[in-house]
Amino acid sequence: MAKTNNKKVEARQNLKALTKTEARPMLQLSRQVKYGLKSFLRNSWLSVAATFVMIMALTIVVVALVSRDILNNTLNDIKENLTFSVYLEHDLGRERVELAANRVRELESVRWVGLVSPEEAMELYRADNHNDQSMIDASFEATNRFPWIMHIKVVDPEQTGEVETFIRTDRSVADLLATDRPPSFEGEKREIIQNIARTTSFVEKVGLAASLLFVGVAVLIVFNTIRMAIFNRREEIYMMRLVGASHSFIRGPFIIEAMIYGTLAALATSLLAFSLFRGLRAYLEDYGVTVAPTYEFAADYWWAMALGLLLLGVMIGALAAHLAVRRYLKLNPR
Amino acid sequence: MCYNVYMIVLERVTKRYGKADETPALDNVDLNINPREMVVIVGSSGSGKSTLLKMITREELPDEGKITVGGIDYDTLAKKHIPHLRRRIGVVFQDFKLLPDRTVYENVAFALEIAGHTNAETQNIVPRVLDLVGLLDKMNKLPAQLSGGEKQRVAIARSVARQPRILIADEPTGNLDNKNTWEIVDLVKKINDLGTTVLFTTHNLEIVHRLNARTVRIEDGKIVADVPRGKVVK
Repeated sequence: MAKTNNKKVEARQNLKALTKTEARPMLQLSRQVKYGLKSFLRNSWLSVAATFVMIMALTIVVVALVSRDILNNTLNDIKENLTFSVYLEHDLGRERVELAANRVRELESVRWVGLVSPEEAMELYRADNHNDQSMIDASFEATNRFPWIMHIKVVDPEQTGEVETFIRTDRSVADLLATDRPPSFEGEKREIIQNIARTTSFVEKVGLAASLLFVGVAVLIVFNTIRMAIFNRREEIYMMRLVGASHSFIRGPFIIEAMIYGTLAALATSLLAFSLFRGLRAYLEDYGVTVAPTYEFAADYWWAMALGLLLLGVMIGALAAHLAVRRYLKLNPR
Repeated sequence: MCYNVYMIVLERVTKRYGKADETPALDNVDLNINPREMVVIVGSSGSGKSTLLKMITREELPDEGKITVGGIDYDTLAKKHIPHLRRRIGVVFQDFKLLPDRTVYENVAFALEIAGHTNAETQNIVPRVLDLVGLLDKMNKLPAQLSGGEKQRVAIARSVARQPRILIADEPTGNLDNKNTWEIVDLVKKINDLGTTVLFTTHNLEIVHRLNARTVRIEDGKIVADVPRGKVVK
């Protein structure tokens, strides 16, 4: 019994003596940073390749995010300029028409209502045909049969039900509707409007999904690059273990190295993306794409975007390296 | 009173890599090694020498039996304490396993830095250890600029820099010519004389005679002879 107790006490003392080392966490951290930096510089080809892959991954993320923003702005522009036209009889007095317009303005789903009188419509017609003197002459001879036009902009082009029902049922408007021209809610125009609304919502969802997907792809790419680095340095890892490096010490330099890839890649991607954006701006605007708000935001907050990219790059690197080394150490536990 | 008088104790250790009916790499091995003792382990390739050493460095775990090193029972040793254990054991391999992109100084300093020595301690220890192995003037060279014997001396310097209680030399002369072989053998003897327990594997009988130490012969995973120091090994 005494012998067993002695044995236990001695085992405890031996273990205590074994693990008695001065903890120097800052010194160990600085060494991990030093090893990470050195191996980044020493394995220059792998470092260049990994940084390049990371630049591609970050560029994909930036392109996905910027495209989503540009598309949203473009579709918002379309939405904002989307106007429904309601045609009213041409011989109505202004007061009556104004009254009807005010009733429509009161609806929650309506953002703006504008009126065009038959006289203003005639002026617009003449302005449109200012190159064709015969048309202008004819307009002076003919009786003005242009209707009153009520232009309506709604808050959400997908939610037009309230306006439609109101115009058809409220007598202050329904009684004034032109019998020969249906409102633009109907027919082909209505379908186009609803298609645009559906596309907007679809693009938003796809953009978000694509961004998330590419962040995942970036993690995978860096994960495999770090695995390659680990494979190249497996002898070094083996030696580190045999001379008594802990798992966290082995992991540290790889994580630092991947964070360096992320930092450099983020800086390069910021420059690349901004230059690309600047170069493509005029070209995109020619196609009616709304680039200005995104470009102006990028120009004003370039530092925030670069910082965001830096954080993303560093996080992708650290996460991928952590997973890769953890996997290696798990498969090679001793 | 110290209960464990031995530095290394293997009790009925068995290790199998294949199926249960195949010959084990180590078969019911009992081995006690005293502190400061030098033990030469001989045996043909595949006899189980390397497996035995891997058990001591805790790279491998036995399927059966018990291992105690420096009073530490491996059955109760937590994973987080393995690095601490390995800092007390120096290992030298036939193929040196030096880091090719680091200088001689950096290769030795690496072991000390990992163990948490300060920069001042490292700067103090590394030149002394390199002096011990006769490479003080080559501390800024890369491994590729050294001969085989010099590389092995760097590996020895790296493994003894932390003043381990045990030095494991796994066929350290396997890749060396005669002259370098004797230099390494003499260096290992010197380290043993300074108080480190040494396990030295080889299949060169001349080395066994030169070391003049206790010799253990392993065949098919079993210890078939344990010849005390001073007796002739055949």
